[in-house]
Amino acid sequence: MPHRIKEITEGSIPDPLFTISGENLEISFSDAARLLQAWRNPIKARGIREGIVVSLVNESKLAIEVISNKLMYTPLSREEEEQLIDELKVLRYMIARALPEALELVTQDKLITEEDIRKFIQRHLQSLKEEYGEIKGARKILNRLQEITDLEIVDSYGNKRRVRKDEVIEFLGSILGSFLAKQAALQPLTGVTARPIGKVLPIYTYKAAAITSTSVPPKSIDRDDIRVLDKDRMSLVSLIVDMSQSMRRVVFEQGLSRLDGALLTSLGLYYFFNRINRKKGRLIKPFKMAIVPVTKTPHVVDDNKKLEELLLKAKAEGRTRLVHALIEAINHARKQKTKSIQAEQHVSLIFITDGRPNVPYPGPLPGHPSEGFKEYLRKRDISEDMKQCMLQLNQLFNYLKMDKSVQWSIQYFLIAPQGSEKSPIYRDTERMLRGITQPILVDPAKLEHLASQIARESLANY
Amino acid sequence: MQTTKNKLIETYQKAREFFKEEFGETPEEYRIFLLADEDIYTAMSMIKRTAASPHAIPSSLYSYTVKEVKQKHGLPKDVELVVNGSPTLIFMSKSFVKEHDDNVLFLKIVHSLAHAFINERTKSRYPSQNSEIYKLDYLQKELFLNNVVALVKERDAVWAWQYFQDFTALLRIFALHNMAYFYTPPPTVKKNSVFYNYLIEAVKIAKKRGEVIRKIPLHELIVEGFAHYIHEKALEKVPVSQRQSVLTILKDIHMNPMGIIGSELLKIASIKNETTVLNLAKSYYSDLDLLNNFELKEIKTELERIRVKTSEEGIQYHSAPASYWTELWPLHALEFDKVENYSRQILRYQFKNYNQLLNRNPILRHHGYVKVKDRKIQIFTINNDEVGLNQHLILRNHLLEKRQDFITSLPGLPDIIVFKTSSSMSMAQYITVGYPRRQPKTPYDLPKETRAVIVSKSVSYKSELEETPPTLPEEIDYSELKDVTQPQRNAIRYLLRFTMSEIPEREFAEE
Repeated sequence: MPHRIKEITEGSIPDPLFTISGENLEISFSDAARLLQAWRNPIKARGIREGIVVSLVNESKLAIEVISNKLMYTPLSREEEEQLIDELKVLRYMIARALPEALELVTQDKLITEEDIRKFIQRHLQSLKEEYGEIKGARKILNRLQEITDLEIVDSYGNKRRVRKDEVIEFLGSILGSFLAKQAALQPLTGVTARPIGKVLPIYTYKAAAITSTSVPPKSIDRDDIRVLDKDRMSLVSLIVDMSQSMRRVVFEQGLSRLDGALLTSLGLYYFFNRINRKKGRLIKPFKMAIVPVTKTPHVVDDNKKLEELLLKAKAEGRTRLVHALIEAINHARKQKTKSIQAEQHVSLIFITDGRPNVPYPGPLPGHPSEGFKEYLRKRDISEDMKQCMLQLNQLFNYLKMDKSVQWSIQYFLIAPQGSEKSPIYRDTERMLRGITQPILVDPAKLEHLASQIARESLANY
Repeated sequence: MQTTKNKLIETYQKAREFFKEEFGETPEEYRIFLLADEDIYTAMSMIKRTAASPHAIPSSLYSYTVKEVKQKHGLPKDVELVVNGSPTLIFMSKSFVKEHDDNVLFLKIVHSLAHAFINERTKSRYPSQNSEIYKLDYLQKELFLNNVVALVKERDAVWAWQYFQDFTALLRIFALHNMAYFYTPPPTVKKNSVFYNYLIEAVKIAKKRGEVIRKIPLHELIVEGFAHYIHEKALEKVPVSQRQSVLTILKDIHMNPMGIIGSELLKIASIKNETTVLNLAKSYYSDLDLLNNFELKEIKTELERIRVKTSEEGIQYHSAPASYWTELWPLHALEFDKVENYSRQILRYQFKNYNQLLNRNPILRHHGYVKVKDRKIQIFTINNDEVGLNQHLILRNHLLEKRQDFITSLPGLPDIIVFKTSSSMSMAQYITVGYPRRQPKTPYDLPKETRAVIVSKSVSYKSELEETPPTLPEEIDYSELKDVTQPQRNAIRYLLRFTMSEIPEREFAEE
């Protein structure tokens, strides 16, 4: 029979390994909270580490099969043969010795830190050397075990990403920060060039005119040369985050707590404001962000390193030292001297709490509490400590209201379910803040909206 | 200059001439596919290796792992890809035809056509059954591409690709063991959406494929043996001085243990039966007919002899003076072990079809379930590289106790524990899924927890980090659990400590 030739298109025999996958991770707040939890708590990440060992087993097993077939059935040069034989030895060792031991150690939480894994790899490199002699490229293959300490995040659509442990904060921060930026973008940040408004900066305007003009000093200044501050105030955003025992309560699925929510909110905001500051063409950084955790010794967290430490070590424990934290925030704000140009200073004090303060400040405080509030508390049946704390807070708020050197604004977010307006906590808080601000209720199950709420309020205030 | 196509046609005609000279007739029922994309050829070879047919839909785990391995170590190149069917389908990559000389190409085509030659003439149902599997897989793939791509595009549901890829792959694996009943949806789901029609069709095809593949006669020893026998004959046409270089390239044909053993056994059987190898090969219904020419002891001796002979030949043809034959031979020996094991099992238990072999060496077993309070945990053994933790989620989503509930792809039913052995490593993997608080966006949007432990060691595990280690649930009902070893039972007990507890209700903070 004569042969016939028919040409067929690629569509008739498509690539069997072709897949469509989502391009980007679409991380929800609870996905991010889970990743943060896994980063903070090695026990929570045990399942992830075991999963990574299992996937390394899968991959090594297939690699052994593929390399064996390649060695047996594909023509190879001597160098290629040599290399594949070496790879085969290491992979066999991995699947027979290193990976079973790794899974065992992971289950017992003995392979957690980078140091653990470094020692583990070193030990197996040594043992491999004793068994097979020096093998070129062994370290490279065994170094894949480093992935065991990675963390894995899977979004609601099944997209998966592994993140190195030391890059988790950067990863989460940038995702949450850009997410907030998208949400807050409804509020325009700048409105400059066409009809410049705001404070004119003479030096920068002069420099711009000198560059565009043919003579120095410039004969005239065009409208295009005028340089204004795109934001004529410096905003210091101080986030006072409650970390008392009650923040341990679980609010999301899979044991995610109020603390997790508050920490993620802080992280997201920190990266969000950094992102705004990085905007091209800005002459000053319009935002500064500080986080003041309400712990036994409240302190200010205002750089990456401190933030990472806070996120890693924060625990929901102890009592609610809101007054101490507020004093720390005020002192910190006062220390911030505006170094740049004519910017005024504006300080946002943002409270995130789920209860009432209960540890009074021992020293004297400026200002006076309102008489009406004193009278209100007298009738309330709550502990004396709590009463004293609330009075102290009221006193400080009144003082800040009168202080004209810095423009203070106070926002008070109270984590409580919807419909809690009639609860004693809300009523006491509302009374404490009367004449200053209104408490804003945040449903614990909707903590993911807190950050965007704060971002919007902060931008609106600027 | 000679084009690739002309070169192929010329050599192909030479190969047909060879058959004419040798047997007086030529193979007629075959198609040759010349693939321009070498990567597609390699990928198809990989899929055929794992799923018995090059168009089967692999699981996302397998696709991912193959791509990773390809990137790190490279895949075997130009390994022969022939679908023994009616017609026989022969795949070749354009680059192979282009790169190699006429002798190499001649031997390769003769070897491939030898499959077609015997497939046309055999009394066995093997080629027709194989074609049926190929067609079903092709149909499944078409259905998958049309429906899932539509779903992905119309609803912007990118997740659907991976999910239904895994769903289809798992159906295929489960259907092998006649266990696709887990997925049987009632016909009423057709009302819900066009897509559910696809699911019903996918289940039907998978079940049909399962039936066909279980009934398929064991025939590989004969087909590969005959092809190898022809290869040896064709090799005589190649000048002795050129054999070394030709065979170095055609390692996949010359060193194929199934071919070598099959060919030797066919030759001995033909002497015993005083007939030709062709007459013998075409008269057999399954490998058992061939093996029945030998006693168990005899086959052992013969296989040993063949092994020694091959090793010596290997040194001659596939081991350059400075090559690593001592390292390479154990790999071949391992493959010989597999074929030897296959042959001895067939002869010993008189296996005729794949189902009998599979029942003796199952890759998938269902051990029943254990119960903790009202929660069922299904227990499986799945020794298949296509099934991993993500695939367990799909399995878990679709494990249905009540078939009439199959109105969505998200029935929240039991958790599962899967035992898996990789090399010497025996693992138990657990996936537990909590109750979603809101309507999940996709089947992946579930609160889930996974664990994996080494089966033999799970009794002694304890973590020093855990302040309050999880306690064992008080009542585990093992009454429906069957065929598990004590270490496996221990692993189940260990993993059940992590059964997801109910999430406490939200409360208002007092402090």
